[in-house]
Amino acid sequence: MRYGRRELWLAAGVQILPPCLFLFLFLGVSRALSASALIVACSCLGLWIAARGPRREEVEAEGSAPWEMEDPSRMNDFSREEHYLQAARALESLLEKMPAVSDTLLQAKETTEKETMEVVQSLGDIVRKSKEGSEEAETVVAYFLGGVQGDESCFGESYFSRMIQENEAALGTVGSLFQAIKEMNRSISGEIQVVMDGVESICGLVGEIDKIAFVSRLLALNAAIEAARVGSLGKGFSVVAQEVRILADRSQKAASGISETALGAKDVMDRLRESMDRRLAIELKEIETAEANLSETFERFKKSVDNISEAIRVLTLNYQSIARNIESTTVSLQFQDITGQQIAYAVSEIASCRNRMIGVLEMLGLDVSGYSAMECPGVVEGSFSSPESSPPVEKEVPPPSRDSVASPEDSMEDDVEFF
Amino acid sequence: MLTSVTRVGGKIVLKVHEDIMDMKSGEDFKEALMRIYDEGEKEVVLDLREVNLVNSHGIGKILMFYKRFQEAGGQMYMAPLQGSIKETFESLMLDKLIPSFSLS
Repeated sequence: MRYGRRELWLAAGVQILPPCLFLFLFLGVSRALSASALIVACSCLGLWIAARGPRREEVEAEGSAPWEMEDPSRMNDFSREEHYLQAARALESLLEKMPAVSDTLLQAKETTEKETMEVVQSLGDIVRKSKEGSEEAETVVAYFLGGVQGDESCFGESYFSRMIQENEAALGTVGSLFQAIKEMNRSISGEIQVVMDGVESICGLVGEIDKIAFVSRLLALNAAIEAARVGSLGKGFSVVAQEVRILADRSQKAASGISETALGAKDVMDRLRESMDRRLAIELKEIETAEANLSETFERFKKSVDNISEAIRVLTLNYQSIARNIESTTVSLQFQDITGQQIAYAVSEIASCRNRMIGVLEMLGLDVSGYSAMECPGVVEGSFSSPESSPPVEKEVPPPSRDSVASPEDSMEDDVEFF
Repeated sequence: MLTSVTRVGGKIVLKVHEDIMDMKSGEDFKEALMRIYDEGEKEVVLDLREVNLVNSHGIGKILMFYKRFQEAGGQMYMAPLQGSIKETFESLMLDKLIPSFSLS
């Protein structure tokens, strides 16, 4: 370590004068001169080595600063002056670095604020779209599936409800039509029975005609016999009897024809009635099956609509929940403003320290014209510059105090105590 | 431009010039309706006569703003439709929900 001139003179006096005095008292002049010369030479060598050692600031830069360990009150004036000079140089070094650190922090603050604002804006857009999407989904559900029970909708009955009602009405119409067809079939069957009864009556009348024709033929035969016994007087009566017999034959033939036709018609009507009865039975069974299937299908459809309605309602609620979560996140992000305030507080502290250091240098009598005082951006002394809209601070923020954010006047007193 | 706005009497007429069939056209349609709604208009007439197709991207918005105008004491009307879009509105029973308003 390199020492100052005053220290070197002091060291030389302490090392050289006592041994020389001792030699002159006990060894004589000639020997004392020789020994003293040797001592002076050795001391000069030692002082030369000491004078060429490393400077104190170099030792400080290497991490060891023995002068800091010393008590300044025990130092003499020479070492105290050197001590102050070293401290002043350290302060100068720190002063040179502080503006760059402060600028870096301010840039970080601006970046944080900008990014936070962008994130808040993006989240705001997401929230708006989520709310609109949720509202749209809810409206569509309310129109097509119906609103929540008890919630009156401006759409009235839901689309599916109206569709079901229309289909149920159509189904009812089809059922009525089937019933009408069934009644018509029954009516026709009854009429067929009436016709068949009429045919049977005709068959009975034909039998009567046959009997009448048989009796007429017998009468004609008797009349012809009586006419032949009378002789020429019964000739005209014989002609009449002949005509009656011819008429009886024709009546029998006509009755036979009517009977055959009536029997044929009866066979046809029997087959028709049997066919209609079979078809009616089949149709009735199919109608009943179709009605049952349709009713079951509609019930399933109603249940499906209810399930879909519930699923979409849950989906809408989830949508709304997401929107609320993003809103909460947005509010939390707005707390990021506190981070900016903390950075501003740190910058303010740096500026305050720098101003105090300039004051110390000025107190030490050094030229500080090259160091301009730094401003304290965005920080009111003794408190944060939090916006009115900002929510209460939840984070632990080091509260600035008069000790930490001191005015230059206050710092002068602190500077004295610092050393 | 997807839409244009004119005023007929006391009603705002929103004329749609292109089909509403995807997310972009749906969002543009919604923005146009939103502007009219935010300006405090109470009665709006949707003119879809130049449009051939409106799918779920447009139907949802129409229903949403129909409800909004109703709740605000207003009313949404529909210019008389033709062709396939008329069939679409009839099948969805929207013709019974939204009153018709003749612009001619």
